[in-house]
Amino acid sequence: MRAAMSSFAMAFIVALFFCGMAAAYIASGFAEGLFAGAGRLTNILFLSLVFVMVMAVALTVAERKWSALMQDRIGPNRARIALPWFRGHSLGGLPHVLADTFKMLSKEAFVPATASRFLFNLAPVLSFAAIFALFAVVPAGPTLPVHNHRVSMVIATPDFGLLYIFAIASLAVYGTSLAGWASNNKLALLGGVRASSQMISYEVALGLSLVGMMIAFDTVRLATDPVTGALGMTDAQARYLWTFGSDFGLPAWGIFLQPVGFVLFFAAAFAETKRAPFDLPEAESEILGYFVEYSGMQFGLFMIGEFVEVVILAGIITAIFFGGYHLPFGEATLARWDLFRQHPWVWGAFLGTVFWVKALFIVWIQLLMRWTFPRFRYDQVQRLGWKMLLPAGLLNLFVSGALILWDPSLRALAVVGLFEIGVVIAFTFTSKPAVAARPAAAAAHH
Amino acid sequence: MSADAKPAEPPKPAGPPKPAPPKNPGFITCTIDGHEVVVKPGTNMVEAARSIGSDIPYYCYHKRLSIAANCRMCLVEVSNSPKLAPACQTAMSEGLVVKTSTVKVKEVRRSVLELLLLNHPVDCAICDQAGECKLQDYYMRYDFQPSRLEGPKVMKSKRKVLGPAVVIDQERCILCSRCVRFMAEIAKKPQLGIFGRGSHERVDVFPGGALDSNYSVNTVDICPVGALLSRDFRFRARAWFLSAAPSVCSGCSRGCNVYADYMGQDVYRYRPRDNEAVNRSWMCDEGRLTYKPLVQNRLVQPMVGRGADQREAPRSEALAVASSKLRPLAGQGPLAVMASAACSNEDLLGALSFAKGSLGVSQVYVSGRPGGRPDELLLTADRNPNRKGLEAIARALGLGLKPFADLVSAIESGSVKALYAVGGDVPIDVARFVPAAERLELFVLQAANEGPLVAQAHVALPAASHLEDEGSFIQEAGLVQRFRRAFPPRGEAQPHWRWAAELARELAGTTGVTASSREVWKALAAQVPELAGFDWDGAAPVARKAPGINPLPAAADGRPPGYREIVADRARGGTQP
Amino acid sequence: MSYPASQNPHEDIRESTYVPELLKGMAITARVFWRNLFGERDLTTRVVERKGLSRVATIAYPEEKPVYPEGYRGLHRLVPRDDGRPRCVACYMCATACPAQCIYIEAAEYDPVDDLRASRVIEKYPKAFVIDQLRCVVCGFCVEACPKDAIRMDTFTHTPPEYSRQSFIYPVDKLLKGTAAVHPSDPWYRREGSGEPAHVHKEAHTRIGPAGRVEVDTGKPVPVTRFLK
Repeated sequence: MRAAMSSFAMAFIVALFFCGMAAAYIASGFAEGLFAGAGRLTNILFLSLVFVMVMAVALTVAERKWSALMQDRIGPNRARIALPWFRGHSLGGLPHVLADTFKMLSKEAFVPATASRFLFNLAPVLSFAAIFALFAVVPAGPTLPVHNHRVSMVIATPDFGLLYIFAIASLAVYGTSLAGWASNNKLALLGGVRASSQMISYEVALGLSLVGMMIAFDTVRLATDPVTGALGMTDAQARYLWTFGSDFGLPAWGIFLQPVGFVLFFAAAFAETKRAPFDLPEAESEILGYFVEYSGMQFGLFMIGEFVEVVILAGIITAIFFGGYHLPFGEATLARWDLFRQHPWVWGAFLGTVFWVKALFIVWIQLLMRWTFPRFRYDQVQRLGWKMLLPAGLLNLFVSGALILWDPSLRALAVVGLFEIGVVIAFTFTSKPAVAARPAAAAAHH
Repeated sequence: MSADAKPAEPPKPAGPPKPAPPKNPGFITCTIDGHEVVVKPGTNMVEAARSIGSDIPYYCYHKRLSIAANCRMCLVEVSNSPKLAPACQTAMSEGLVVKTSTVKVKEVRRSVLELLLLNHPVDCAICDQAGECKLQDYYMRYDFQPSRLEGPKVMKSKRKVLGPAVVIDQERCILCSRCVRFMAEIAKKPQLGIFGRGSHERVDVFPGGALDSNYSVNTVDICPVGALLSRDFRFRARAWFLSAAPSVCSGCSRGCNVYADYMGQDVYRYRPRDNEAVNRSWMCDEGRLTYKPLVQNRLVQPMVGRGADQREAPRSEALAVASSKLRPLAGQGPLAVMASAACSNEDLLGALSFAKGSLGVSQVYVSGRPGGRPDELLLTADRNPNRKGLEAIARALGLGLKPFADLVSAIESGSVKALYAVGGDVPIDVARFVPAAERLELFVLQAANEGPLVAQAHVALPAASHLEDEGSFIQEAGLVQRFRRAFPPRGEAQPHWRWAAELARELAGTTGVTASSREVWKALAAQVPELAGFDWDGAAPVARKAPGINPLPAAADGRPPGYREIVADRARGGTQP
Repeated sequence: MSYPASQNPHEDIRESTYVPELLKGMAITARVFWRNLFGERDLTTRVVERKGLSRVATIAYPEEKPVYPEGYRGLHRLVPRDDGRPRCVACYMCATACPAQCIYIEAAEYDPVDDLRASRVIEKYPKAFVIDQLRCVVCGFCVEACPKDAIRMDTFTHTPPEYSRQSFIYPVDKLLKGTAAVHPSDPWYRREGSGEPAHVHKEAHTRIGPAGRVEVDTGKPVPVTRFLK
């Protein structure tokens, strides 16, 4: 019963993704018919406001529910909708979204008397807006003709793609440090200082970890430019490094080419989101943070911003390391299917669904990490950023660069990447010989 | 027949050896449990053993009653008899060796207890004596085994009303006859007897009679078990919740010494406290009920205004109103002062000093409770505990005393228009004084209880009862007697002397003594010759091993915090006689 | 679920590189997640004895009630007599034993001519018997102290939540519930009232059992403690 319900719920989520992407393609196609570029406006609506925001909002309750499952609990189920049938059902805790929203909206927006009023009100906006704008360059689906118009499932395709992400992401630090400063509260200020120092430290490793991918695909774009056809990273991964059979093989995904880069980027980006185990700027129940003085929806902006960051980070990782909306194999075979050929928007919706399922998986991985790892101490955070991630990133860059120069087909890079993955897997599935081995080793010396 | 005519007498047989001369001439020297004891001739073994700390258990013995020796609990081994001797009945003799805790004695005690408990209903759960019951105490100490009775117990009447104040449970009775002896010997009204034979023997009143003596509740006090019960106290509290404050009954001028058994801010009963000079171990039934006005129907908030306009006021406002109205009248003829003979010495010292110093009066009208009929033993006609004190203090302060009747006529003639009254009692029917009080242009009253006089007062200040403050009375024979504070005053009530001191401060700006009644005594008692030699601090000590049960009400049932950690006799103020 | 970890993390590359250990930890969390996601919750067995997939230990409380174990000290109840009145005789033993001082009792007396026989025999009863459940520490001392089997904690429920503090003050009518307790030794089975019964003199009350021991159901003698030295 419960297994069937869970499976149905997962299938329902995938179906929702499909419907959403189909609607996005059709709406974009209609909009392109009005004037050129109007499709990008509907993409803002569908990708940023519908997909990212709805996922982030659902995450507020999903995090609680999932963490409950990871901790052998039931999780939130008390909020009910006061309608005849709904009254007796917890609906998986979803009504908590409504309850939280009403709570945040109806609470007093308290401003401390000694706070700098303008900056205090500005900080959550800055913090949220910077995060919210990040998704603009991430493609959620292929460029396809819909209603005789070419429709790109991306908001913007600047040629500086990844650099835009670095630039905008580093703006978020203003929000947090302003929040800490403008609250005129020494604890908030300390939280803000912790947050900004952490974010600035990890900016470096964040950028460095992706340079390997940039030189591997010879671009900083994420999406393919629909006008010039300059290949973006997402589409560049849609090829096989080695093929076994007609349409099967090892795709040129970033995870295989740059596993070290992936780990570094994941760690650095995770630190940017300020979530556990990097949540020492503010850990709600233990450490006072930079938004201690905020209440109501201003606090809500900080909180929802974190979840938006989680979704967008998942999208970016999917686009860079997991082939974006591309299937690992069999994509060419499927694309020849009549339904997909006659109705390209169905194909687009299908690939978009692939993108969002991948992203959702990365989101889940992030929550898994949050509820698995203990929090870093402040010095450990700095040590990890400067003394481990940064040198590892540099080393990864040198090795990758050399391999790419030596073999531009990226196969050498992939071999090294697969070897690295294999080493990690081997280490994971083996364990060090037990303590009993030590006296034996000592005896061998004599 | 003359002595000469007798033939030569055969030599007398050698009689018993002459007893050795007493070790301490005029006293008897003997040995109890290895200790040498020197007692007066005629002292019985129970008292002799108590003097060296060997407690001999007993039920029927009472030091103020004749000896019955029928409970057999006090049997001890003595050197001049092969059988055990009842310790209560046997007087000590020279050289006697007494052992009170041999195996034989203990076995006999156990047997006696088993016999006494054989038909006892063991309904301690509903017995008011539980907690102060000698059956319980001795069972735990000497018997401590399950009943071996096979078959049902004898059933008798469990609630027979003997009189207006006493009810008996004949099943619990062990037939020690203390009550019968008390009624015959002390109360001199032999209303109780023992009827029936064998296991149907029981204590009862004579047919057609009732236990209606004014001293009937003393039988409840001396009953060692829960057979005789006070109808007033019955089922109202368990004995172990009560704390005891040494106090003095304020019911009449005898001034019987009592323990006021209280819990929280309520008194539950008076128990007589031994005082050879005043009440010995007894007190009257009427006096036992005088705790009720001290806790019931109390005035707890200052009242301002008169009649329909009367309202509750904070203390400061009441003081301000009273002083502003008294100020123009101070030292004037129409202002009179009335003091009650029921107030304590400290109250009167404070209030009369204020009356003389700040109000400038030279005469005090004496009020107090109306008198009653005296009885043959303790109760006196004057129902005020401190008339002697009032007279002594007024004399010492140079104030003249005038009877209450003069006050009424002075008010009616118009020569007194304002009255400052210490104490709300009047010696006539209150309803007859109310019309006179209505004519007063200013009536400042310090009273402990609500009543028609309070309604007539322009300012009514709530006074503390004598249980709520330390103090002393001078009883009829001129003895100064101290009483101890049981619990803090209710509501806004405070003692008369404190009201007087605060009024003096408001009126004249003088700083009166407001710290404690002890300070009042220290400051003012020296001028009164009758009070001069009294050891105020040392009198009526609280029989506690360590000072201080926190008397504030704390728990749901009014138990003070930490109550159960206090050992029984400390909390109970001593053991039963 | 446990795995060996070296005492010094710098000795082992698995632990010094951190990543394999992270993956192991995530695998544990993920396994718990999936088994709880798909597993059916088993409410009938205790958590530690469950065999199914789901190990969720909590319950959706008001809809699902936990099965309290044998001997659970639940909400108090005043045990009724078989005529419906409380067995309690207001002896204050529970109030005396109560460490939280949450029991308030006022005793009163039944009419000697009460229509119920038990009330004619035991004259004392609680006019007020109040338990402040907010103050109660559920220690069960009151049950231990009761000489009349008049208070029990066998309701197998805890104090239900209320909206006001006053609602947690439980008077007699909220406490008096459950099945009546009947003991053959109850005094009202032995006599008609508290007055003196008609004389039916039997010698039985003078028959004393063997010294020093009492007969109990086991048939074995029970030694009696005597404090004779």
